[in-house]
Formats: sequence, structure tokens, C-alpha cells
Amino acid sequence: MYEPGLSIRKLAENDVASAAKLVARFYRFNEEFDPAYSTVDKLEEAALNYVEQALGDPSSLILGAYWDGKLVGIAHVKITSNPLLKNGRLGLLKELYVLPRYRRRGIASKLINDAKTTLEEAGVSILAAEFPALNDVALSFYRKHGFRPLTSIFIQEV
Amino acid sequence: MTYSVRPASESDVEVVADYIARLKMLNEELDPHYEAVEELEEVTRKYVEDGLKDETKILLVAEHEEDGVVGVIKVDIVDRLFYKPRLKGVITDIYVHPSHRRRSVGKLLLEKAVEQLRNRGVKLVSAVYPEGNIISRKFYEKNGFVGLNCEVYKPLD
Repeated sequence: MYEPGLSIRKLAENDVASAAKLVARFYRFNEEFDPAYSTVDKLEEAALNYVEQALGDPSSLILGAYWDGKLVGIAHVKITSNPLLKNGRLGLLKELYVLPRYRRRGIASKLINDAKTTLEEAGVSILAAEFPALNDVALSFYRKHGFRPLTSIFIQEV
Repeated sequence: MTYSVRPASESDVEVVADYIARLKMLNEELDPHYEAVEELEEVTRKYVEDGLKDETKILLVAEHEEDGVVGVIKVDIVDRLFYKPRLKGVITDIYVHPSHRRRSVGKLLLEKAVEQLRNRGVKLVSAVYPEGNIISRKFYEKNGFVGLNCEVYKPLD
């Protein structure tokens, strides 16, 4: 199916392999920020399993960004819930990635907006995003899109 | 866990090229003007092979006793022509495998490279990295580097 320009839709089954490549690149980038993000040896393979599982998981949403019909970006949102909180259900952006040569065209912004619409329809009122504390690219992106810090995760080796 | 630094040799080409390619792919994430070429693997391989043959370039690797080569530094010795001191070392590439970070391997690579520069009478060392790379920025700040040049760019249609 050829569509000129950008279109965002739920990831199609037959795009799992290309989506896995994007997920692997996302993790390769995060790996640079902390040894705790060191990736496994067969990252591409692990990413493929991961995307396949997420596709079959009713609490996961994977949106694909298609440019002229080619998959160039993805957003994977996982809905989590905390029964003790009023707004305990939130959609957590586990992975958001756009291929470098397709940056600066608002693709990630569009992915986020579409994810918000889908969450709203599912009755989830919060969209959250997870990224390495030192990832300035992500930090400025989310700040620019009106996100505020909520949770901090501190780690140490045991 | 101990690390040692030695000059890179022919047998390191593959792993060194892989680390340099990883560095370029990190840069690619930081600005679209760093979009890597399709044939990145071949290009980095040739870059490393040429670097090994060139006497004006220093190529060192950090080795871990179990994991082998875990990091690399490449320094070019450049004639500043108009300024004193004439020679400077330019760190063009430095990369440590993520699973060996936070153990001062980068610092060790830098120290050994500086030692080699000193031995060759080079009195100045500099580094070039993408503005968006805060990992690099923090590393060089911590090691006493300050800003000197400003590089501006403008893509042409």
C-alpha cells in the first residue's frame, strides 16, 4: 500500500522485523548512557521477540510511523496500573524511535499525539515516558512537548 | 578488574572498526547532519587500516584481561602552521564499550595518548565532538579541556 508522506497507524504484523530493527537502534543509543543499559549479545533477535510479544499483549500499543509507506519510526506504549492511585493507570512510552534521516519532520510529535488519542479512548489519562537520565535529546524532546518529571529511578550495583 | 593500554595492531582492526562505527552511530542519533553512510562498516575498516599505517596518527586500544579489547582512542598530530606550539594532537575518536564504562577506561586511554604525544614533543591536545554529545562534553570537562573553536554549519539545498 503506497501512501505519500507521513501516516501513523498501529504496527502491522508484517512490519515486525523492521520494527525490531528500530527497537534495537533505540536500545543501542540508550546503551551509551549507562553500563546498566548494556544490551545483550543478540540484540536484534531479542528485539524481534520483544516486538512480537508486545504485539500480542492487550496492554501494549505499538504505533508505526510510515513515510511513503516505509516504516521509519515507532512508539511502544505499555499501560500499567497502580490500584492505590486515583489516576493509577498510565500509558508508559517504553520505546520511541525515529530513524535519524527522518528526524526534524515532526514524526515523533505525531506519534505522541496519536498515542495520546488512543490512550484517551481507552480511558487512560496519563502518558508517561521512560528514558536514560543522561539522554539530553530525550529530555529536551519531552520538555518541549509539555511533559514534566514524575518519577526518578536511582540505581547502584549490588 | 584491570585494564592495560597498548598500540593497536593489524589484529585489532575488526574490533576497533566496530567501536568507531558505534561512535559514528551514536553521533548519528544526536544530529541529522551526522547521518551515517550506508557502507559504514567498510569505511570504518579502511579508516582504521589507514590510521595504523600513518605515522602522524596514534591509535591505542584498552584491553581487559578477560574481555579483550574494550576501548579505543585515535589521535591525529596536526601542524597548526600559524600558531605556537605548532603541533597539536587532535582526538578524533574515543570509544569505550558500554559494559566497561564508569571504570575510568576512557581516562586511561587519554592519559596514555597524552604520554605518547609528549614523547613526540607535542605540547597541545584537543578533541572534536558533536555539540549534542553530553557524554563527550562531561568527559573532556572533567579532564580539564576548555572550548577553543566554534564550528558553525549551514546545509545547502
